[in-house]
Amino acid sequence: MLEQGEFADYTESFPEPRVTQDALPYWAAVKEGRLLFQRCPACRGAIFPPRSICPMCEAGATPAWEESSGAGSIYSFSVVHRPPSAVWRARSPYTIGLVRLDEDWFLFSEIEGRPEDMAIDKRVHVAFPEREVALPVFRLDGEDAPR
Amino acid sequence: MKQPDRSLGRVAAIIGMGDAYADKQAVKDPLQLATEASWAAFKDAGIRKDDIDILLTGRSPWADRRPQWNNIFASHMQMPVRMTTEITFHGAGVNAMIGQAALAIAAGVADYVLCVQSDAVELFIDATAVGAATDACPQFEFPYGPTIPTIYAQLACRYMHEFGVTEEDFAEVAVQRQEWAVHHPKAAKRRHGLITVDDVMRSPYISTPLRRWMCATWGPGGTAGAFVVTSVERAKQAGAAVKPIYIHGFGTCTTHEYLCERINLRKSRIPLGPLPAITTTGAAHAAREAYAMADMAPTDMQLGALAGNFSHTVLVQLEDLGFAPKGRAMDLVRSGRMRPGGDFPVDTNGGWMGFGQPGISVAADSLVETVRQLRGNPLGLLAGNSPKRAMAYSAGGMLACHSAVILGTEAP
Repeated sequence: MLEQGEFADYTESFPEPRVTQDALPYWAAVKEGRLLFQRCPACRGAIFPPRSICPMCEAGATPAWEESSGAGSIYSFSVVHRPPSAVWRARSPYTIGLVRLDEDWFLFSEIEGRPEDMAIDKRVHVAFPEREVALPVFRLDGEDAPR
Repeated sequence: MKQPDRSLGRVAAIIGMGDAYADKQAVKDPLQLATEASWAAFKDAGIRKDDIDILLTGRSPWADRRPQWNNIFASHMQMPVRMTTEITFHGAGVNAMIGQAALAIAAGVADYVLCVQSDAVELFIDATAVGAATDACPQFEFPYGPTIPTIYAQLACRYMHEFGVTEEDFAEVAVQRQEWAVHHPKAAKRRHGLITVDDVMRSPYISTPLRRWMCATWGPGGTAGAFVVTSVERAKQAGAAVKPIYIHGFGTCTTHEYLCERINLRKSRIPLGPLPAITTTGAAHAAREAYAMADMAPTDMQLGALAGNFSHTVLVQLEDLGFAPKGRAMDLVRSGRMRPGGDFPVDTNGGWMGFGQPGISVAADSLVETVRQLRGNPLGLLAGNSPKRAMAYSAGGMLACHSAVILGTEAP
């Protein structure tokens, strides 16, 4: 029988990403404050999450890593009022959204800023704040000071 | 793409159904619930336990997540069977058991298939933490601190943006689910009584734009649904006490696991509208296959059971199942046709929002409700239109997995 403590990662600390082999370069770049994605050399499509073979065409090509400008726009968002666990409660309300990067790929990420300022299509840019866990987040353009 | 075989909609029937329930006063674990429901289904079908050739379950219950739970259950029942497997694509897998059972009957490898699912989340685990840990991508979503509502809210936000739907519209969906739920003795939200749009709009945000009343609740404590599937011939020859429910059509579809994968999907052999987008789901394909197999249209359906865990998923499902054009489901909601007394009753146990989610068995609860209404013996309010054909749909994952089954009282 499952015990409650089996998901202690979520209830007692900020969870670390469970890194896949395909994504090792992505996370190495995050630690340097850079945002990477992949592109297929055959169909030229932007690929995310990372893959070992392009899933979008039949070429079977190995994707190449490319650095993102980090600029994009809000595709959708939600302000979290009832967080999943105690560690998140201190930070709430916070906004989680889908960001469409200018290279035409999407990240599920946090969008820093006042909840009332959030709107679909607003421009955002990537940031790498000092936190317990290194993650790329986004900020509304013109708002570079962290909360 | 290969088209569904219409003959498959004429081969199988549910001849036995059993349901079981638990709460804090009568605590039962998933094994107990599934056992109780299965024995009730055998009795209902007029068969013996040892008549079962194949056992199907959905994925393991949240409240007992041992892998290969299907085999654990077969062992618990001392029920050696020719074959057993889990149909595992989230909540859709539970609904899809019915179609897989029909395929086994059609192939001639079984006379009787038992399909069973149980769960008891509220009685055994901390669902809020476990839920997000299960359904968020552990690499690219979970570290940002979403809950399940946060992930679903991404669709709610886009749906409002693309189609001009409002929070008040979402509130009306909740009001109508509650109109059914207050009559169902096992519905988790029954005790709250009827609600108004104002009540919904005054409830706090869980994750914008979703307020508490726009979300399904965990509970009731535990449920199980069990279904004995056999051939149409055997169903017709069964005793007068047996009330067969015929399987007219079924279809399934899965498009992804995590939302971060779905939004980055740029090509799909299964039509999902122009991509990238998230407001059309694989439910549309599952339903198309089911209708084609049944040789029926959405307008032939006289009863519906959705998998609306939030107000906006009710709307998207009504559209994808063919009951309303894309973006226009609120017209159908406002028509009142789906309310008690309407000519197209939908979610007659209160749906996932009003009945609640006891866990993965919520999909079995919708099938139980559909069979009960078609037989005219619901635990709650009787559909007033004496339905003969019903769409029972289930979904699972983050808008990911879909299964549609068309059931009816008339032999093909």
